Amino acid sequence: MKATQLLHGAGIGLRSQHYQTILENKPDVPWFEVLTDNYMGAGGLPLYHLEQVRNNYPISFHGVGLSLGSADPINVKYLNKLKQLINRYQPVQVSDHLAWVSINNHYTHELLPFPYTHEAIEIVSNKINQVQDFLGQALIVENPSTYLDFNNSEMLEWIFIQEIVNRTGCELLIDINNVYVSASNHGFNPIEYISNIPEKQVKEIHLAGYEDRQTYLYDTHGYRIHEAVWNLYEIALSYFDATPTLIEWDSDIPDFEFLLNEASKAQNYLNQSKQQEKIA
Amino acid sequence: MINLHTLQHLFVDAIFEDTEINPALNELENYVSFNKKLNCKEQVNIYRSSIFGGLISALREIYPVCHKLVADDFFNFMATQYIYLHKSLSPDLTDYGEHLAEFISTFKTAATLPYLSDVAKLEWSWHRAFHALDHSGLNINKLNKLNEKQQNNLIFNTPPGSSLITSCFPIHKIWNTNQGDSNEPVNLDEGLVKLIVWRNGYDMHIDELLDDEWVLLNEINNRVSLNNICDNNSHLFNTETLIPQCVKRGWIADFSI
Repeated sequence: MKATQLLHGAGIGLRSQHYQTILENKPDVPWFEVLTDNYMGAGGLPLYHLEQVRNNYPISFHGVGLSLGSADPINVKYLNKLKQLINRYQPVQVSDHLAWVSINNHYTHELLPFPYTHEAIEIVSNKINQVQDFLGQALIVENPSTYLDFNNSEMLEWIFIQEIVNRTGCELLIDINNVYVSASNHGFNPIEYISNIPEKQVKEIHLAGYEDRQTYLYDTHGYRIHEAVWNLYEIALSYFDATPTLIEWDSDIPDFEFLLNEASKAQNYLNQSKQQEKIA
Repeated sequence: MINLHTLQHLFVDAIFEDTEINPALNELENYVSFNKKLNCKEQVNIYRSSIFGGLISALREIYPVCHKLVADDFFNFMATQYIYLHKSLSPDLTDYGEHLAEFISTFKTAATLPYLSDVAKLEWSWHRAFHALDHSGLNINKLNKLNEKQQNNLIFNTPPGSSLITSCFPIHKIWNTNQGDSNEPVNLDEGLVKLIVWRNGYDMHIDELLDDEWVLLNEINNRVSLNNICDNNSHLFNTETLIPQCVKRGWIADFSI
């Protein structure tokens, strides 16, 4: 299934609060994204539910544990576990973040920023290559939202992304909310960011809501997608075409119906984008 | 120029330093720019809040009864102290929090709740069994096919992820009364309880054990062979009746020879 299937349309992040609704009602959702790190246990109900969802829908895997931006080596135990999950559940694609979560084997479980330096390019590229070689498939890497500026960065984030794509052939997940949040926090132009992303590598888009904390925007994934993010999404689709898009929600998780409505809105944008592709 | 490893080490040290004097944060300031409206400390604090918030929330999910017993403020304070002392050493967040019961037993602020540590022990056991390997129960046919020598040397196994725990407090009743909106009173002076926490299929169980069941299951968990269990405990129980009884309850789930 993995080799031939592609994701299409607007999917929804799978959350345990919605298992029952999904399994009982089989809603018309083209795909679900699974937070891989929630299924690292040996067995039990979470894996059972994942299996049931997988029997009915295509899924993608999305994780944080690879810690690609860390100076630590890859955690081989985690990578093995990820491969076992991939073999068992056959996700259409697998993604992680351009961030680090651990150093000296101390896990923060938070996506942390790092300076965009030539040293970091080496480290991140080597790790992506190691992961791709081990998994035997392309890894999709997501742009982070950040709240901190390192003064020893040697390049802009999109240049860094271009460089790791050149070195690894990895694919990209562009989180439009993250672009918007980081652009606002660091004062860059979000359209310039999007226009500099290697568009052929973009295999997935994320949409989520941020929280305005007065002195900065914070990527909570707990709010309705803001109008400014929808607008940026529309612009992004003109660069990336009708890329599969995910509605992501992690805190104060609403009813499934609400997420369906957000996904339907994203689907309308995707349909418009497809029509424009045809005209062009 | 500072290398990535040193910078990341510094970053984590700055986050997890629990005193006002934070040399790592002072050094990190050399590498962080003033970000529009936020200085280095404020930028690092965004991540500190997020990291601690995530870990506290993970502990709250694993220890819902402890959380209910002490309420938000106390739990958050206790969890924060725990996080400062105990690093997460696994990328799997469900591995985090194993030592909370031990921590609570030495946490002076919780001294007025002497049962809290044992309730935490029960909740960790529950969490462990919930995520443990699935099993299909003891294969009696396979067991019956063993010859006498193999039967004598076999070692039984309790269900994967199961735990045997004791407490001077009726922690299973405290746990039970804190599910949903139950307000059933619990008599804290009922005396010692012996429990097994385990999973049958996807159903979780907390079962109270009799003295002979407790001894037998402990022997099994200590990987004592059937022959030796019989020899060691002939004065306490009859294995020929007790073992089938424990198999029937689901507490013996497998064997190895």
